[in-house]
Order: sequence, then C-alpha cells, then structure tokens
Amino acid sequence: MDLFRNFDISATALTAERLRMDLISNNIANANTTRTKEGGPYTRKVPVFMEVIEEAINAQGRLVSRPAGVKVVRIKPDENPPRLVYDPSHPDANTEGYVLYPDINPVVEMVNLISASRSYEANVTAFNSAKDMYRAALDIGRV
Amino acid sequence: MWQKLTQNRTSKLLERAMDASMIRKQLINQNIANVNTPFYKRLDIDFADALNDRINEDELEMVRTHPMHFSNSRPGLGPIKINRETKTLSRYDTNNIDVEFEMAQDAQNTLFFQSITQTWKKRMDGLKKAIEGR
Repeated sequence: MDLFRNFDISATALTAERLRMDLISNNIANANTTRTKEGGPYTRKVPVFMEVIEEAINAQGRLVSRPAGVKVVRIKPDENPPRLVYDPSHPDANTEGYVLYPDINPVVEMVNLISASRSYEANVTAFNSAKDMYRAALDIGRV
Repeated sequence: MWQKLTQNRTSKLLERAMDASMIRKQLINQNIANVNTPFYKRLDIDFADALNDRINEDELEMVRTHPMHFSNSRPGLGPIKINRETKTLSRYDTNNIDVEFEMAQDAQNTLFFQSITQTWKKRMDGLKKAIEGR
C-alpha cells in the first residue's frame, strides 16, 4: 500500500542496520575462533548495502520508479590474511608452531557498532515523524 | 456552489503542497535509510518548483464549454519531479548523505505538513460554522 511507504522504507533500513549489528557482534564473539566448519580460522563478515528502487505503475497509469529503502545484498567475508601467533602448545598450531587467528580489530568493530546503532536511531526518528504526519492528516477529518 | 467551496484554487494548492510534502518525506526516509550505502546520492524535490507548476497550470486553464466538463488542471495530474543530487560534497565512498541535514529537513517538512493540515482544519471549521449558521 503506497500510503504507508514511509514506514516500509524506514523498516528496511532498521532490518539492514540490525543485521549489521548482528554481524559485528558475531565478529567480536569469534575474535579468537581458530576452527570453523569450512576449516581454518573464522573470517570477519561484512554486510554490503544496496539502495532499492522499485518500478511501479502510478494512479495515472505511468511507469514510475520510486524509493523502496535499502537491503543487504550479500555478506562478504573479509579478505585480510589471518593473524599468526606463535603458540606450539595450541591444538590448532601448524607444524612450525604458529596458530592462525582471525584478523579482527575490536576498535574497528566497536566504531562500526556505534555507527550502526546511531543509524538505527536516526531511522526510528524518521519513522516516528512519518507517524506524526499521518496523524496530522487524520486530524483533518475530525470535526 | 459546493464545487466552488471544495474545488477552488486554495484547496488545490493545499492538496498539492501536502502531496509534495509527503513525497519529500519518502525521499528523506530513503536518504536516512541509505546513510551507510556506498555510492548513494541523496534524493530530493524542488519544493517551490512543485508548487509553481500547479499555479501556472491553473492560469493556463483550458476553455470549457460546460462547467461540468473536466478541467485540465485537476489536482495530482502533474508529476512531481524527483532530483538526485550528485554535485554536493561526499564522503570517501561517494555517499553524500549528511544525517544532521536530513534530520533538520525532516523536522522542517513535518512541521510544514502539520501547518497545512491545520489550515485545512480551519477551512473545515469555517465551513461548518457557515452550515450551522451560528
């Protein structure tokens, strides 16, 4: 329904930012993970955001493109090489005694986390002001 | 008589302004939603342009042979043009969204919309007063 498009746009952004926060939490949680199902250490995951524009036919029968928010098109593994730590007693150490740890910088993750949660809040504010506008429009009919 | 009350120039202009404001709100939401999207460029409409369109259209109204014929300047016929700003300063990922600016525009747009709905309400109140005759 076109009337509530504002809410849908903000909702897509809330979903995307929430997913970004989930990935950041996952990265921090796995900062010391040396073993994964695919083999080797954990790799840092990064979401890729893309703008969504959808085509639609408006009330006048014209084909129009209109904004439809944002979406995470893929979750990309970070290509940075893993960190080498010398620890021969570790069960995952290689023949030279080095252990491969994921290349996760907690500072980078925390900065991204703040960015994600602030963006989330900005979208909530935009959502609420859309609500105020609809409420004002409904008020016209009140006698 | 009734048509004069409800289909006059002022109500058309108010409708157009509400339309434009609602579209602007969508674009502001889209801009805020894409604050972290690389290569995104902000969307906006030229508000004055959207309203001027309507006024000019009213002035160039087609001659009608009967008052009940459709006019060429019915509200909502002229599409409101959406612009993508590509020339403003951008970040390293070429995204040019400034959240503070968008929030300010959002607040301004919401208040503008509310002022128009208030005007509508006052018009309706006046009409009601006339109908009730007291």
